Amino acid sequence: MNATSVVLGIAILAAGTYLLRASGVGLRSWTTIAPMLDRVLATGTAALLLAVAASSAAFDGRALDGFARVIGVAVAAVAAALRAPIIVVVVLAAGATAGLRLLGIQ
Amino acid sequence: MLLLYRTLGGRSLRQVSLVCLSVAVMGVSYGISAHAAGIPLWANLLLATTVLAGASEFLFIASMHEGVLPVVAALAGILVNARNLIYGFAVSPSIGPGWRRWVGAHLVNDESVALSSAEASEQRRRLLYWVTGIGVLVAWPFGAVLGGTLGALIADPSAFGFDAVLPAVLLAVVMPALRDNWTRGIALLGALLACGVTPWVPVGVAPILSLVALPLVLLQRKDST
Repeated sequence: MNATSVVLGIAILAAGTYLLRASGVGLRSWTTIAPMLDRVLATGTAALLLAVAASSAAFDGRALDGFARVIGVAVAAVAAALRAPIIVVVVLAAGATAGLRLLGIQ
Repeated sequence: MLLLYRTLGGRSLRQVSLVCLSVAVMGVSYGISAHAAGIPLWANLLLATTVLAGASEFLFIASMHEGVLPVVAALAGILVNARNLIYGFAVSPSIGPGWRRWVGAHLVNDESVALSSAEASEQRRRLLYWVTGIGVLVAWPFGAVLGGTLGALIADPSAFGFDAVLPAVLLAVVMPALRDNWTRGIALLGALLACGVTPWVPVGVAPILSLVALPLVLLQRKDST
């Protein structure tokens, strides 16, 4: 791959991503927000974050990605639900996933 | 650091540091993949700083490696980042007035949105948004370059379970919001939907489809939680 085409790709990706972010930010300042919409947005943000976490745990791109990471992240989810400190959650996730892979479970 | 400790408080500072550390770890694993895909270190750094959205960068380097046209690879990456539009809309009031909005918009991502929306007061939201956003802006490219450099040494980053770190962090930061029964129900339904459609839709679209469950929130009466 040559440098010009890489830079062109990066420039388009960066500009497009910034435009998405800034349009969200900008749209908000031109609309008045009903209190109900605040509630919908808060719930929507939580739903998005959980969906990103779940799909990135179970999938690699669009293909299912074995059990090791799903189990590791599930262990972390239980720990987080039990109010474990975030460092414990992270170490459990990586540790359990790495351990399972060491045992040959992908 | 002391000033940050005073304004943020120990607990929040620990949380932000850990989130940034996790982002850096994920960045290392991305950097290793970028190295394996033949992306030079300078392009890796440029991508990490100017795009600042992990999943789309993974997809971009993978597509470039497979010989996809740069324009097409970039458009696919933009699609992956579509949720940032909704995030931007949600956190807009927490970013600040005037020119700061347009600088702060670049810092819209999973982590800055999660940590700031967990706060109750507008002042704390704004503080957490900027501190986390700048933290990620430093941690992600740092991790990416470190990974790109280590790439020659570590063959298989998945052996360390690095790829489980970011989903786990997102779960940990979204957990307080999920203590609310309605939010939890809708978010779980949405996440199930997203996982169900992931194999059938372009990468990055599935999480957005989780919002299909969102109108259920309108059924909730104001007095019940």
